[in-house]
Amino acid sequence: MSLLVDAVASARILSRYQSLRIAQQRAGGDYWEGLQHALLRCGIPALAPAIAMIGLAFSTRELHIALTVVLGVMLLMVYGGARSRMSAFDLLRHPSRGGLVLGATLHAVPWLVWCGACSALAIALSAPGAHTNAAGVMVLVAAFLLPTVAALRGASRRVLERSGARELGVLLPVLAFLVTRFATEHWLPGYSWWVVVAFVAFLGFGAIGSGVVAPMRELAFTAVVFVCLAFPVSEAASSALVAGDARAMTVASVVLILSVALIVSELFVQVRHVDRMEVVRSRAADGDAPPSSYGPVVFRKARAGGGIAAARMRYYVDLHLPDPTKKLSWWKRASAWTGPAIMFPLIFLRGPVLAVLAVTLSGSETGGVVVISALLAAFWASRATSVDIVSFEERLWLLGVDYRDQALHGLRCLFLVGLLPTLLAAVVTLLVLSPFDAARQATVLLIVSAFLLRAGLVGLWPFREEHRVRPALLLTTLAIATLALGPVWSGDELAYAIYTCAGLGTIGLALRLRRLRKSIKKAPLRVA
Amino acid sequence: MSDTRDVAGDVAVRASGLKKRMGKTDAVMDVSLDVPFGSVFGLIGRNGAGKTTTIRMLLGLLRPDAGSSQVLGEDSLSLSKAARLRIGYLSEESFPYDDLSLPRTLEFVSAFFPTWDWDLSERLMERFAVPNDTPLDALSAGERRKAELVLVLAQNPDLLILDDPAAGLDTLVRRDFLWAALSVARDEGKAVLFTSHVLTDVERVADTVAFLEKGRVRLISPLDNLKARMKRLVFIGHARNGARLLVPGEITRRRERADLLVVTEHFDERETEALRASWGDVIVEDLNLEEIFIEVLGRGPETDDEAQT
Repeated sequence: MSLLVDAVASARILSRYQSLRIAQQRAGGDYWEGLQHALLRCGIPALAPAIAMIGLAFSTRELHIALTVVLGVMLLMVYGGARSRMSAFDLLRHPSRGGLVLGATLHAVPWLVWCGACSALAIALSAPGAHTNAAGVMVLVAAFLLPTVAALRGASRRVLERSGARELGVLLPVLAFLVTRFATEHWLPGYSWWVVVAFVAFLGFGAIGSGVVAPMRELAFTAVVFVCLAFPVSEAASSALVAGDARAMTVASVVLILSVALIVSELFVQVRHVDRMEVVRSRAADGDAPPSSYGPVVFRKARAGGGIAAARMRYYVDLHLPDPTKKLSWWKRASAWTGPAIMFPLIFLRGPVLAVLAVTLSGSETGGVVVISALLAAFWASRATSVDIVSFEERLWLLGVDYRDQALHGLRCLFLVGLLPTLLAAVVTLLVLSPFDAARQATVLLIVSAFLLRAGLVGLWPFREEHRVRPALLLTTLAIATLALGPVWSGDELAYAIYTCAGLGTIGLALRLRRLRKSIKKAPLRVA
Repeated sequence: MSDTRDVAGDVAVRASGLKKRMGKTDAVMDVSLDVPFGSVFGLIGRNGAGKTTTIRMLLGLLRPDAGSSQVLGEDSLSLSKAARLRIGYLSEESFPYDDLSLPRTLEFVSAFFPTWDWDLSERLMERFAVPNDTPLDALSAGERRKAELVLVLAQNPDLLILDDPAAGLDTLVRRDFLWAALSVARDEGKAVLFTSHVLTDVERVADTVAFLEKGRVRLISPLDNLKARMKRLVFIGHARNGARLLVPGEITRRRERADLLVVTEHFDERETEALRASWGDVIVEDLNLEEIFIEVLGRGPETDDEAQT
């Protein structure tokens, strides 16, 4: 009972803080920031039913599926990242730790209800009439609870000071998409083992990368997400749900039970473990944090031999793995590896996996999904989802690595760490599946030309080296247009896409290299 | 100030045998200390000595691997809400609710504390001249630290724990802060525990200091006592023939031109007179805290090793 009282008190504290923020924004006449915040919080979940309506209104099934998958990724990240502060101030000033955890959840209830309603509405729109039978109602309730489950899961991880399940969170909808398509509509007859291998590899990679320590809860969460995403994207699943047959009933009841069990267990874990929570984060005041391994790795010779070439290779690997300074995952500590082991992380990069997916799918259907997979293989091959090939590092600049050198280094990395393994994976897949299949060959060429486009994009007017948002917007527009065209992609259209990407990429790359060479003679390239 | 006091006497903070391992590092290996009410306790040490970790264990933010600590008479790991409200803690981390301006932040934070002193907060705001209309996250590092100091001091706590409060502050503001800390501790009989790398500040306000080195308390002593017993003896003209010289409590010795300089931690006037009788002219020099710090921590065997490395 006292826990509940504390939780209510904590929720009130958080509400008071929010009121003060709003009052401050009003006093300063800064309505735009508040509006942006509200739009983001309420607008993004509302995209789920909007996309379901698009799916109903247009026959662009691929666009519907892709948008659902992209939105699923985004929503899981939004729910999982729901704010709950656990600083020293909070632990000392809130009535109790358990109350703080529960209070944060209580405070988020109105927003979670809104998100849940949007999520359930998306399924109701995708499977009209589902609400008339018990299975449908149970799935709708599970979808309603999904944002709460995801938010609690994210909070649990923060309470327990573990890493966020970012990779797994991003990959889950992709897995759901793949397996759903395979299981329900037999999109890939004859290649089912590829899907299973991809599933297991992705899941294993995600599990390792995100440091899963509660596999049962993660698996239960995976199942709930899978089912909630399967209904909007799969016609067969929607039909089964509307019919309310025994199979749908079984799946629906299991998912509902899992959802409720997850909410209870996550809350239980948080309250139980919150007293063991430690505030270990430290500002750099007491001695600055050591610099990242970028600089020393370049100049430090291989600890177990190998010379400067191995050291340089480690540098490439380090630079292209996310957050190399964190010690969360074994595979992120690539700089400590020696010998052939330093090549190991390369196989986990996203480019090769997406290339295998693109080449495999192109055997049975040359549609927008194949094109977008090929584009993603190039633009998402390493480090970040953004299209810039190098993130300019002020720290590196301070270590004496000029921005121009960083740009050139990024280009080298793109080809060495991005293109080579991706192309290798695509060619091996092509040889294994069907070496003389014209569609698959075209897909390999498309991947190469997409890499060229990525390398040359910032060389084209109106982009500059430091631009990140504009190329990203262009790429997003390109991806949506590609998917909207859907099944149009075949034969000549694919050839035009290859020529366009390769042509633009080559011109852009030439212009870019010219610009970078000029900057050697004139002034060093500076980033605004 | 609250009437409740530690049952073991007027001790605000008591730690015994605290140990904490962070990853592969022994952050704190054996820390025991007492901070009585009415005292200003300075915890000093080099970077990574374990000062912040010790403070976090005292506040229950970290669980010690061994040892225990009591704050305001309660176990650190189960501090009641009432006890927590009597503690003012200026963390080395930035204040988390930093998108409000200082007046609104004061409005938010004051609601936690029944003992909130609005007069003091207004005086401090005026004295520190922190901008009123700018969110904390948009302030400069120094201004932000001043704002955080206002937030902590206005709580009117019985125990003030300040983790490197001088970081980012200019000389004048540091002086103001010292005035505030002193007035809290001395005038009202409260306890202040603080860490700092600015040893002149520590010397100005602390009445007891503890030197931490690699997670261990190397030295703990009232400052006056420490300065009275740690002296530098200068043996004139004995730089080359001082090998046989034995000084009780010697911790370091070095040559400077023709003279031999010996630092002792057990200075005694009678023994010095005896040394004068044997070795001729001996000059006794006082050491300030910074010199003591360097002698105790800066010239130890570990540091010599590091220097060689």
